[in-house]
Amino acid sequence: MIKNDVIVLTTGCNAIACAKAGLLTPESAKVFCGPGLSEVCETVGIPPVLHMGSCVDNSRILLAAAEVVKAGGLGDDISDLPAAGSAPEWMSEKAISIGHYFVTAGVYTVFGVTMPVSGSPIFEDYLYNKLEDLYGGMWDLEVDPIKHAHKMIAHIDKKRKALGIDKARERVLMDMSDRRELEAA
Amino acid sequence: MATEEVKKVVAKKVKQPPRPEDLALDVASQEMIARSREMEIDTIFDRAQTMKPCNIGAQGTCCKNCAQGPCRLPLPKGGIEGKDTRKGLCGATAHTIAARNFARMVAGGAAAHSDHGRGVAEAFLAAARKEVDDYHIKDTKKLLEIAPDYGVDITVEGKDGEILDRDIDEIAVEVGEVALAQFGQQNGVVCTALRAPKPRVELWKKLGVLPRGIDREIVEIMHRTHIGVDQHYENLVMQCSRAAIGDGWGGSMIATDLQDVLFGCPYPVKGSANLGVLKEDHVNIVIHGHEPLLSEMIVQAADLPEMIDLAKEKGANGIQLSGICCTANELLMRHGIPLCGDFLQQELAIITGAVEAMVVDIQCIMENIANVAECFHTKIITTNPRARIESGDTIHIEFDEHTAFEDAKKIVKTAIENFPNREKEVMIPDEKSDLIAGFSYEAIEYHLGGTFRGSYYTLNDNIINGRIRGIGGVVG
Repeated sequence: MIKNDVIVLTTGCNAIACAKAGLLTPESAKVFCGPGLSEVCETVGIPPVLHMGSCVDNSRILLAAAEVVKAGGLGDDISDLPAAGSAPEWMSEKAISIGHYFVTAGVYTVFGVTMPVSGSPIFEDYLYNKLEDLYGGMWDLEVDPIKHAHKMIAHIDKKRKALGIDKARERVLMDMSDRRELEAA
Repeated sequence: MATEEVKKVVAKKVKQPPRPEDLALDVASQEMIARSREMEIDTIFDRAQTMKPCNIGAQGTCCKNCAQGPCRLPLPKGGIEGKDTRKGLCGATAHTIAARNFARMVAGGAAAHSDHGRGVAEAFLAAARKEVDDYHIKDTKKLLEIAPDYGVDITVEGKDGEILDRDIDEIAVEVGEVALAQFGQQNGVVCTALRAPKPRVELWKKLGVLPRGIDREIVEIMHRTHIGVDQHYENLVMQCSRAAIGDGWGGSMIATDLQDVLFGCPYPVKGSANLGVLKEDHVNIVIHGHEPLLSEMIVQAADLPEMIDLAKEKGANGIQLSGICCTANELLMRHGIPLCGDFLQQELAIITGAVEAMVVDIQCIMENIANVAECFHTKIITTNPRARIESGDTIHIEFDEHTAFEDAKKIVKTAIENFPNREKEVMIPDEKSDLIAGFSYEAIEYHLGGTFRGSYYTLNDNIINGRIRGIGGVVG
């Protein structure tokens, strides 16, 4: 994810796993991140993976998402944001509740390991596909960690496209003559 | 020849246990798994090899909600062509059963988060009313920020129409009362759910999934999933939505809000993580579970000069606190107390032989820590009336918010007095990683813009210009 310039907000046991892997330090940005995210982390002085707290603190992620909507420019609702949720190594019932409040908030949410719904293709299809029509967010399952991340990135790209920000804008460094030209125009 | 063949078959059948490095990526865990095998102590890593999950349960299509079954509806290998005609005795289809099981998981999860939230709300209200000595309203800035969301005014009109600040204690009591009322509320809307962006709230209203009361939605899931009630998976998922929103935007959010006001909103702190944070020459107290109510008190108790003196008297150089699971995260976020490990490392921490006490409150506590502890001097101390352990030989020191600090002192003392009982050779892995945690949503706002222009604008701007591709929330 961070290699692909996706900033990660984390909580709970996943935060501990990221900590052990050394991802919660600002220095890790240079080592693991894509150039864009690395630059932002370095400028602001933050790690690319932000530890937001315990599992009840997932509410902080919801509020951060609501705040990003409020700050403007990325759509009118959480479902418009280039964002995705994930519980790669979930195991508790709490995770199912968390997953479902992410989905109902409009977030595409991918679980790893297993989902106890595979015995009913109709119900599985409802969670993984049809819920998107209602909430703009839906469930998914991907056991392979690399594919898991790429599914999230693909969703982020889909949202960027919908927002019309899918084409990377070149940053133009302007010198004084450029400025004069601009002013003259 | 024949015997050789038999031997070959036998050799094939006796499966070698997987190597520790195939079971965990983390080196500290690998070392401790190897250690557990040397000592012949079984851990989750061994049990996972022998326990084969039930295939039908894993598919979500075993129904045991009444005594006529359990009805088992596995999906045939190769799937189903045409109409799915599988039915339980009552006629419940595979999708009804899978949806009911899913719903009960949502109910279980929402109940866990929200009952935690209720506990915090009760302690908060007691603190606001000054009925307890050990908890205080600490972060008044956050209190004033959240009060309007709970419908509590922070200003009042004076005699001459001037706007005056309201008394902070009054505000706290009212916020506490409103917060606690959200759990048992029967009608209306859980107030914190309205913090979602307006279009989202409108959508929830249209779909009929705005939670009325946190508890009510959980109870309704249990009702609807009883035999012969809700037999439409879409309708069941709707109730799941109500209960889950009541968790994320209700019970959990209230827990976070009030914990921040009681103990301080987290801001970035340095810490470290992994089993290497345990110290051989210190009394190690590992706090495990989910609530900050007790652990905040333990932090204070372990800091008392009398406790440190007692530890020295018993031959230790000091007291090292560390945490497992979310209690650990709460302490890390606010005090920089190191993370000893995650869920899968709770047994491994004890196997270091260096843990004087593992203090547990609620959630994600493996019953087997009590058995592992019996192989060492480690004392398992349960503290919450909701969470007792029958296995092994645990101590129960019940924690009450009215006697919080005294309870915490008792717990710390029990741990210190256990230090001379360390018997076996101690083995603490070296691994630990440095980290920075404490990124509350307020802290992110500050980091992105400083005091004067703190806002999420910078983040949005960098997403729009493509330097940041997007946001991933990775949890669990």
